[in-house]
Parts: sequence; structure tokens; C-alpha cells
Amino acid sequence: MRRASLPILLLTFPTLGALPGCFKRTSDAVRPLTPDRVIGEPGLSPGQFSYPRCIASDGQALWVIDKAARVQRLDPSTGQVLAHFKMPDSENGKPTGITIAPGENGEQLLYIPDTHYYRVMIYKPPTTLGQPVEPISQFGSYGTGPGQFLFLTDVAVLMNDDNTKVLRLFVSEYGGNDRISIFEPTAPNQYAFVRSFGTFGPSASPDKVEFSRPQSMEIDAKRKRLIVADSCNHRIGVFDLDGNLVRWIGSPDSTGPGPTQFCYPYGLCLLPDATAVVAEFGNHRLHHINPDTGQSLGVYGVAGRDKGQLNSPWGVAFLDNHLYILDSGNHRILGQKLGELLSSAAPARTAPRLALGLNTVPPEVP
Amino acid sequence: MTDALANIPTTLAALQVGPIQFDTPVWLVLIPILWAAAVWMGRRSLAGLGNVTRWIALAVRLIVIALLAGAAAEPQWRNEAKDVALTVVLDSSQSVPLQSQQAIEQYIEAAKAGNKNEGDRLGIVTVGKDAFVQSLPTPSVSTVERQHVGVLDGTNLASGVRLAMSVAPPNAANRLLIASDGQENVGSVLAAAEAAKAAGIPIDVLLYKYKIEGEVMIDRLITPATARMGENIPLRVVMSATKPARGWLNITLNGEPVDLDPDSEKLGVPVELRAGVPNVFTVPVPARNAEAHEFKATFEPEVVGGRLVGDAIAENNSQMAVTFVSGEGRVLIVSDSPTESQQVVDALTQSKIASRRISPEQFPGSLREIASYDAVVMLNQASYAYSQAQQEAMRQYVHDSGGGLVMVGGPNAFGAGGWIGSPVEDALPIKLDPPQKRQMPRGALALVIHSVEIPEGVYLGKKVCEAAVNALSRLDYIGILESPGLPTWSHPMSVVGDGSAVKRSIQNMNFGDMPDFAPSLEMTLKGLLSVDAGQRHAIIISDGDPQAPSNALLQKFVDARIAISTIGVACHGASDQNTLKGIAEKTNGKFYNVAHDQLATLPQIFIKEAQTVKRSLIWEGPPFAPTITGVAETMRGIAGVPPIKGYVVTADREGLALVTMRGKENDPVAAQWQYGLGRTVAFMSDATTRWSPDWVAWSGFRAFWEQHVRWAMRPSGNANVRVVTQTEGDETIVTAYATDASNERLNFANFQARLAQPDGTAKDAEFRQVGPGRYEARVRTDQSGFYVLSANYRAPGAAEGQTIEGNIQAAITRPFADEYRTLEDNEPLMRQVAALTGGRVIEGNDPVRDDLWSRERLKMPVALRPIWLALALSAIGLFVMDVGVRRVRIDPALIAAAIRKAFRASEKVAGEQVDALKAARKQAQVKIAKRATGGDEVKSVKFEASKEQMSRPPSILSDAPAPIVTKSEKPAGSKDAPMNKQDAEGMSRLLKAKKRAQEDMKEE
Repeated sequence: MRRASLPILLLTFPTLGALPGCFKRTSDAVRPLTPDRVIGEPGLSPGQFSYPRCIASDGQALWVIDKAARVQRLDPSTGQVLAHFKMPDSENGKPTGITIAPGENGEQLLYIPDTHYYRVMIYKPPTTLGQPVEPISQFGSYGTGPGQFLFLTDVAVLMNDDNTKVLRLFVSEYGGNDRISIFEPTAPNQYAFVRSFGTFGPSASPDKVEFSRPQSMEIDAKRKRLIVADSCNHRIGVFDLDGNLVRWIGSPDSTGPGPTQFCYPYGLCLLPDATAVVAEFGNHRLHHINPDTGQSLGVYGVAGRDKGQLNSPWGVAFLDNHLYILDSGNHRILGQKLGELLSSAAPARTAPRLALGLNTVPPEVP
Repeated sequence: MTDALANIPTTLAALQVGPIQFDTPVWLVLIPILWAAAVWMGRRSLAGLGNVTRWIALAVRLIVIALLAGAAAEPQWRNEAKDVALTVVLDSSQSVPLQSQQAIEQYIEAAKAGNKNEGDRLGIVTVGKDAFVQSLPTPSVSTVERQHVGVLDGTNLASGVRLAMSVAPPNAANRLLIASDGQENVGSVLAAAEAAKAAGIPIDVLLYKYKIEGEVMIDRLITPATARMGENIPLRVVMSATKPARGWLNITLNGEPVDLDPDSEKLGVPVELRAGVPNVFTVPVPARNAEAHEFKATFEPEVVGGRLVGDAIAENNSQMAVTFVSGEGRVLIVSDSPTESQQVVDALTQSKIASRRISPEQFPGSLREIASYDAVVMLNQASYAYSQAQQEAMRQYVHDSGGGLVMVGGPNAFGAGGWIGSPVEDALPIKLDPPQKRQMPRGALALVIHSVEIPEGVYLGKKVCEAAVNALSRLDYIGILESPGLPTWSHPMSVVGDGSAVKRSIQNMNFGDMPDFAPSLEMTLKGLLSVDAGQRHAIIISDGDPQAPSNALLQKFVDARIAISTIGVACHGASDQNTLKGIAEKTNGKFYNVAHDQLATLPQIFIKEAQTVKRSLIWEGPPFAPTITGVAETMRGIAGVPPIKGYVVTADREGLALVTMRGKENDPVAAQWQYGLGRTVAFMSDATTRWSPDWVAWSGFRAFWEQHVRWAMRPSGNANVRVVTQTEGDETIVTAYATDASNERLNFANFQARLAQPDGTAKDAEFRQVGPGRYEARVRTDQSGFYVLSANYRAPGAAEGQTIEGNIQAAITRPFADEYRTLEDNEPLMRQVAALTGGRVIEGNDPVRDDLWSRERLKMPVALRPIWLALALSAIGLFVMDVGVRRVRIDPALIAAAIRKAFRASEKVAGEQVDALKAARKQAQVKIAKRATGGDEVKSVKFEASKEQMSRPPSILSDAPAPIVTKSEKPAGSKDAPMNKQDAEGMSRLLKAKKRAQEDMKEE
């Protein structure tokens, strides 16, 4: 009996030691990414990246712009370049956002906030390699006045119900003029400034919408919501489509690496179930949240250079049941099966709620 | 025979069997031997087994033997590569026409597109004067993109080949392709090809073929190395042409055109050139001043119909030469304002020393210009006012051209002026770092680094950080903060020391993107306040696009008296500049906006800013008279000096440096030494009323400065030495004709000579006497640019004990690179490289059929994985199986019967068990029901108390201790006495309970 006690003890203590981990709330743990696709490598050839900073999906392929000012369309399964072109001007700086959305007559268009040239460029996307590309429209000028821009970060396109008509463009910017401007069409691909909302600052007051580098936006047309990654305030803003604040998720005072905190949320994409995935530049991870409730549904990925690790991610896109994470510091895109990711982390019934701001407008749920 | 046996294991090569390679196959010989032994032994030992079993056991034994022998033979699993990596060494030098370069780029891209094997890789290395990797060999590379290509006025194919070999992937077969005209002028591509051959990498060559038909070039401009004031300097221009040509010859002197034909409207003279022969033109130009005369001859080709005739390359149409015109010794005085230097200028003028004062902006940019002065006096000068090249030229001026340097203090000089770590510090007779033991306030500098969106951003970032670190003293604090997502100290705030730790940190920096200035500045403030420093300062380098910090945060810097200087590099626009400007203005720092074409100024800006924390190196206090400590020529006749009120703290330099005056805590105040061919003097106080008001009125002021400057000045010499240079290929012959004052040839002179080269280095030159009064030195001059040769000479005079001393100088020029001399390709060299390495000469007609990724003559690399352990473990497993086969008899019929029986038995037993369980359940239910109604007291546990026991008062378990009684005192009857009534009742109850329990158990 005495002889048997030592092995039993040896087995027992590690088991007891592991118990707290078993009882840890699932949402407290950072879950690993298990990407099944790695697209790109450092370089300047087509299919290679030099610090890519924005990503978007057109439903069939991915669009990426990097610090070499190259706009590339990539096959998500093979990583092959399907089309590419270079921004006409890039000496001052390169775009940090890209959006694909239908234009006036339903055909897909590229909306590129040309960050350092103070304008929105609209392109008809090339479909083949070597196809010449010219902007079909552009608007904007340098300044802080109505309809003018400092550094543009993103464009969000609001369509009508059958996706045949552009109702509004939302354009975000920073640089002391941190706000979101609303434009409405006056003619095909021509837009006029309507109004803007937000100023520079950290305020969480519903009466005074303030941003600090609103880096990316998504529209949840079904719920009539505009979701904004307010990066330097380390929070996600949920607005109605007129720019009225619904709630802030996270706050400038609670930034950090915790599972209920954000650190420079840069990229944003909505999932079919109306939850959102946020790419946290500062925490080198993805954050799955429910914009309706402010719940944190899980955090994924750790900093590093290995296959499942991230280095300063700038964006994330959803396509074909995959999340495509723009792993900017590693000059690549990681493709992660959404199902696998979420099954690894069924959210706890009492998922932790992020620091919520005011809820001034009740959420619209169909 | 014995030797042959001994060599067996080593001479047997590795044996390959399918994908397995045996490194020591000699062990496989054991297999047939042991197999035979096993079969022979098995005949008896396995005889008792059944037929099948015997064969199985034997087979297992044989396999075990094979596996063990195989494991001993060091088996490796071979994984052979299937892909080819082609690295193109692309000659981007200026000798290759741009059209040819574009054609080859298109050819390579077409070849990659046409290559069928998707795993094949393409890498690009460009070659100019240096080689740079443009793309690492990967399958994705499909285009030729050029980033930083470096200087292109040279071709270093050898460097390109070596670099391409260094990036060759080990898991693919490698080929190199040199695309070049073969006109290398740096390194030896054949030597590099030998290395490629040794590595088994074939080099294919693709020749840029060209031949320039009509070309004119100036081969040489010959001028005398030295001349005297008023002489006519004869300029001989040697030109060559491949075809007869006409044009104009123009001459400039120190940048100003010389009118060669006053009667004509044009400044130059017309020239007509014959083909294939040297065309020599002689032009006399009068010497103007006692200074270096820099001549430039330029050929201007004839223009007919708007086109140049007979000339294709403009870069080789000019040549330069320098003549040093001797005269009275001259001193160059540098000061920020005339007031600063007025007293020293007056003193030198009174001493009949010719001088010229300039401001730092006017300081000569090259050694040859400085070399025309015999000494340079720098008054209160800060290092940031001088480029790195100027500082290096100053050091060379003293060390290699024999000039004199007098550095005079002031709050901007020495360590306080950022000269620590500069080339000039090497020339000074003191160390600019304060002594270790000296207790003085320290400086703390924080560098906040943000990546800037320019191709050379990382390189520049590291350079500026190093420049800032170099400008600090070893006692100061430095911290470097960058922001890869979140702000991080790349180098935590710590003492500079020898700088090695911080420089290692700089090399490891990532230059991450910074979204927001605020977190970085908060960390910076915390870091600066965490150290005990007298001066604190922060510098931000950024393109200005992070989010601006709040005014409240900036106010914290103001409150802590920490200024933030901001340097905007390649700012995206006015908004970025405003952010950086705002930070600087609000914290009393400075804002610098550095455009793309001003990047070279960045290190100087950092040095200037780092200087902010260097004020701690200044001592200022009540006036005191420095102590004269050394006996020196410079202090002749000076017994004492007036008081000073301040000086820059420095430290003694070991070696031959002589400290002539000392101040507080034994700090050096004046020092001097010989540095190479020249001399330097350092005076740590100043020459104005700021720190030395009593000196200006001092009677010894003139003598003090005259003696120090004269000591440092280059000796003019008392001989007559004329110098002539003649360049032959990569070599220049410098000839000195020396006569003494009586015009007699000067023999047996000893020369100490140095040659300063265009790349900033210098080397010794050796003069040999080759005739009466004639000395010759041969020096290699294969770099383009200016060389300055300086020599101090010493010879015995005519009189006994007399010595003749002096200094000579000569400038040698190679104004354009050899790159521009080539008029056709060097096909033989390229063919030689291909032949040496087993490569091919590719014509470049069809990019697909040329098959650049050809497997021909390539040995595919093999990755080997040892598998001996797997074989050994398998053998052990089979051995156990062997034992099983022999010891365990397997009878299938018996096994089947046993299984059937086991099934039947289990069914019966299961039925019985179910019945018993049902009965037990019924009994239990009855008992529970009784207990619930209180009908029977059934104790749930063996020692449960009854109701009666529970109702009794609690008994005291621990009474007062009984008295100890000895055996003799034992009361009578204590052992045999009958039990009292209480005890008897208790016993009776216990017996009853026992009986009842036994009955219960029986019932159950």
C-alpha cells in the first residue's frame, strides 16, 4: 500500500493542478488559430506582399492593398493572383482601406480611400491579369471642411434592399479631423456630401460622438447598423445609419490584452450570424464579439511569426466559410475555417460583457 | 593486404537501395552470414515445432537479423529535391544601356511565365558597385522588381555571384544566371566562379552585347602637382576618339570657367580629333592664389541637326586635376561669427600668419580643399554643422596630409558639441568622454522611432539611432522605443557605457507601425523620469501619421522640463507635419521636416538633438588660473596664464598626448600631440570674453596663440621640391625632384608619406631615391575620385648637423569610373565563367526554349533522415514475436470451443446474478420501511448510539487522574473483586447487542 502511494500522489497532484484550468471560463482563454491556408510571402512580385494593410472580399476572391501601393485580387484557395494594378499616386503614402460593393447598376466596384491623397477612388475592378485600370470616378480634397478629408481610412457602402442602388457612402478619416462623412449619389458614381458626425476625442457621451482614428467600418443592413472600429480609442462603436450612437463596446480607459479588452482594433468584418470579428493590431489577435449585446465571444491567436500566430494584423475578411486574416507584419494572409474556429470555443452561457457605453437606441432585431 | 582490409569500412561508398541509403553498408555483410547460422541452428532448436510454426519462427528470425544489420549500417531515408532555384545576377551598372536592361527583365519574366514546374524558384540580385538582393528565390517571384540598387558607377560581378550563392536555398538544386556585359571593374568574377564550381552551382551567362561606334573621351588631364604663385600652369589634355570628331574644349578653375580665347565669344577652344591616336592639347593657365587649383577639362561635342556627333557617353567627356600652389602658409579659421574669432584673427595677423575666416557653412567639402591650408582653427564649433564626410576629411587632413588642427572650446565644442565618437575625436589629444571617476550630472535621451514609408527607412532609422548614441558620453542614459503594435523599449533606458549593448538593440529593431503617439510618449516620459539625469530630452522620428497626443500629456513633458524634438521624414502632407510641429512647439523642442532629398542630413540632426543632453559636460564657476603642467614648445616663455571661468570637461588620452594645462579635478585644459603626419592642439576653454575675459587683455595672448598655431601648422620646408604625377593604368607614379636652397640636388632624403583615398581610407606610400635628387613612389589608384598624397621629408643638409625638413603634396584624380571607359562588351570573360562552372552561354532568343531552370548537370540535393532507431525497434518487436511463436501453441479449434463455452457460462451466471440482486433489493426495501416507521432500531453504522444512549447525560471521558499505585500498594481484591452493578449492566447490554447483531447478520 505504501509503495503504491507515491505513484498515486505523483498522478494526483498534476491532476489537481490542472483542475483550475478546467474550470476556467472558456472566453478567458486565448484560443489558437489553426489556419489551413497561408497566402503570400514578402516580396514585390504578384502574389507577394510588402506589409499589406487592407483586405476585402468580393464574394469569390480577396482584394488586398499593400505598402507598395499594389491592389491585388487573389484566389483564396490557391493564393494565385487573378488581377492586379498599382495606385496611380503613392509617393505621399498608400491606401489603408478597400471596399467592394455594387455600384449604381449593380456591377461590383472597388472603393478605395486613397488615404494620403485625400480622396475616394472608385474603380471598375479588372478581371484579368494585365488589364489596364483607370478610376471611373473620384471625389474629395484636402481640408477639414464639409466633404473634405485629411487621412481617409475606409468606405462603407449602403445599398438598397435588392442591391441595385447605392443609398449612401460612409467615409471615415483621422488626423485631427476624426469623423465619418456621409455622401449620397447625385448621378451614377457621383456623390455629394450630406453631413458628417464625430469629432476627435475619447468621449463616450451619446450627445458628443468622438473618434480617434476610426479605421474601418461595416454595415449591418438587416439591423440598420453601422459598426465602426474606433482604433485609438480601443473600442467598437455601433451606430444607426444616421450616425446616432447605439453603444460603445470597449473604452479608451480599458485597453489591454484581456479577453474583454481591445487594443487598437483595426480591421472588422461581419459574419452571417450578425456577430463581428475584429482584428486587433495591438493585441495581435482576433476578437469575436456580438455587436448587439456587446458580448465578447472569444479571442483567437497570439503574437508571433509561426503559422497560427499573428503580427500586427490590420484586417480580416469573411469568404466561403473562411476568415482571411491580414497578418500584416508577417506579410501574408491566413485562412482559417470559421466553423473550426468557433467549434473550438462554444461561448459560455454567461459570456463576459465588454465595457459598454450608453445604449441610447434599442437594438433592432428583425 | 592488411592495409586493404583496414580500409574496407572507409572505402566502401554509401549504398543506396530505393529511398534508403546505408552510410556504412559493410554491416550488411552480416546478413547472409547470420542468416546461414540461424538456419543451421534452427534445424535443431525449432525441430520440435509444428511445420507452419517452424517456418514462421525461422522467417521472423531472419527478418530480425536483417533489421539489426540494417540498423548497424546507418540507414538514412532519402528525400530528394525536385525543384530548381535560379538566381539571376543582374548587371544594373551604368555601362549597360537601359534598353538592354529592360529587355533582359522582360526576357526573365517571360521565361518564368513559360516554366512549367510550379515549384521552381526565381531570385534576383542586382549588381552595381555592390550587390543587393531584390527577391529571394521563391516560386512566387515572377517579375523583376528593383528596390535599392546602390551606386551604379561600377560593376562588381564577383560580389553578385557570392551574394546569389549565399541566398541559394538548400532544398533545391541551384543555378545562377549572370546577365551582364562582362565589364567588371571591381573584384574578380572568376574567383567567385571558382567558389560556385566548388559548391556545384553552374553559372549560365547571358551577354548584353554592345559596341559603341562613335565615342570621344578625355583620357587624362595632366597638370604639375605643385606650382608657385605667378607661374603659368601648363595643362595637357589627352583625348581619344573612335572616329574623327570635332568639338570644343572648356576648362574651369575651382568651378569658374577659364576664358581660353579672349578674342572669341566662346570660353573654350575648338578642337579636332583624329581617330585611334592620342590627341594632346596644351593650355597654360596662370596660378592665382596660394591654394589648391582644381582644373576641370570638358569636351563639348559638335551638334549637327540637334544631335551630338561622334560621341555617345557624356560621363567620360571630362577630367579633373589639382595643382597645389605654394605661397605663404595660410590658416583657416572657422567660427560662427566674426566676433567669436576676432581676438584670434588679430593675434595671428600681428604674428604675420596669413589667415582666412569662414563660417561652418563655408567649410570645404573635401580633403583636397582643406589640404591647401597649413592649419585649421575651429572656434566653438559643434559637430552637427559638419557632414560625416567633412569630419572624415578633417581627420585625414591631419593624419594623412600633415595638416594642423587647433580645436578651441566653448559651449558647443568637444563633448558638449557632439564630437564624441566622431572621426575628429580620433585626431584630438584628449578623450571627449569625461573620466569615469568624475561626478557630474548625466544626460538622458529617449528616441521614439516610428517606421517611415520610404524604401531605405530601416537603414536610415538604424543610422540615425547610431549617430545619436555615438554623440552621447558613456555616462549618459539612452533609451530607444518603438511600437510594433504596442510601444516597446527596444533598448530600455540605461547607461550608454561602451555603446555595444545599445548598438546590438539597434540592429534588432523592427521599426513597427505606430497608430498613436500617446502610449509611446507616456512610456517615454516614465522612462526618462526613472533615471537620475540632469538633462532629459526626447526625439521622435516619424512620417507624422500616428494619432496626435493630447495636450495634457504634452504638458506633463513641459512640467518635467523635457523637450521633445520631432523629425518628420517623408511626411505625407501638411497635416502630418502639423502633428509633429505641434508636439515640438508645445514642449519647447524643435521640428525638422526632412524631405526625400535631404535624408543624408538625418544623422546630423540626431547628433544636434543629442547634444541637448550634453550640456552636463560643461564646467562653469568662479574664475581660476589653470595650472601649467607640461614643458612644451607651445608654452615657451609662458610661466602663468590668466583665470578662466569655464571649460568643457574632457579626459586624458593615453599615449604620446601632452597635457600642458590642467583645471578643476585635474581636468585637461590644453593638450597637444602628433597625429599621423600632422599635429593637433586642443584648448578646452574659449578664446572670447565668455570664459576667458582676462585672456583677451593678457599680454601673452598673442604669443600663446601664435605658438600653438605655428606648432600645429604644416612645415613649409626649406627645400625646393617639385612633384609630378603620371597615371599608368591602375597605378600612379609620383616623382619628386628635390633641390636645396643653393639649388643643389638633395640626396638621401627620408620620406614619410600617406595616400588619402577617395573612399576615406588612407595607406602608406613608399618613396625610393631613383636618381640624384629624384625620388619616386608608386601607388595604386584604381578608385574613381580624388587622391591626396602627402609626405614629410627630412634630409641631411650641406653643413654638419644641418637637417632639411619639409612637406610635399600631390593630388591625383580619376574623375569618372572605369565603367564609362568601356566601349564594348567583354564576351570572353563571360564565356570563361560559364565554361569554368559547367554553365551555358544563353543567347536569349527564346525565353522558354532556353530553359533557364534546366536540370542539365544539376545534382538534386538530398535531405537524409536517419532511420536506424526505427529499424532497431522493429527488430526488438519482432524478436518478442519470435518468442511468442515458439512458446505459445495456437490451436484454432480449441480457441473456438473456449469462446463458445465462455459465452454459455456467462449467460447462466448472468441469470443467477439477476435473481440474487432482485432478492437483495426486496430485503432492503423492507428494512428501509421499518426504519422509517420506527418499528425497529436498525443502526446505520456499527457504532451508532441508541436512543437510550443519546438520552443519557454526557460522560466525562477525562476524569481527574487516578493516583499512581505501586504493585505493593495495590488494594486487596482489586483484581478479583466482583463488578459493581453499573459495570454489570453495561456488559449485559453489550452482550445483548452483540447477540442481536449476530441474529441480524444470520437473517441477512
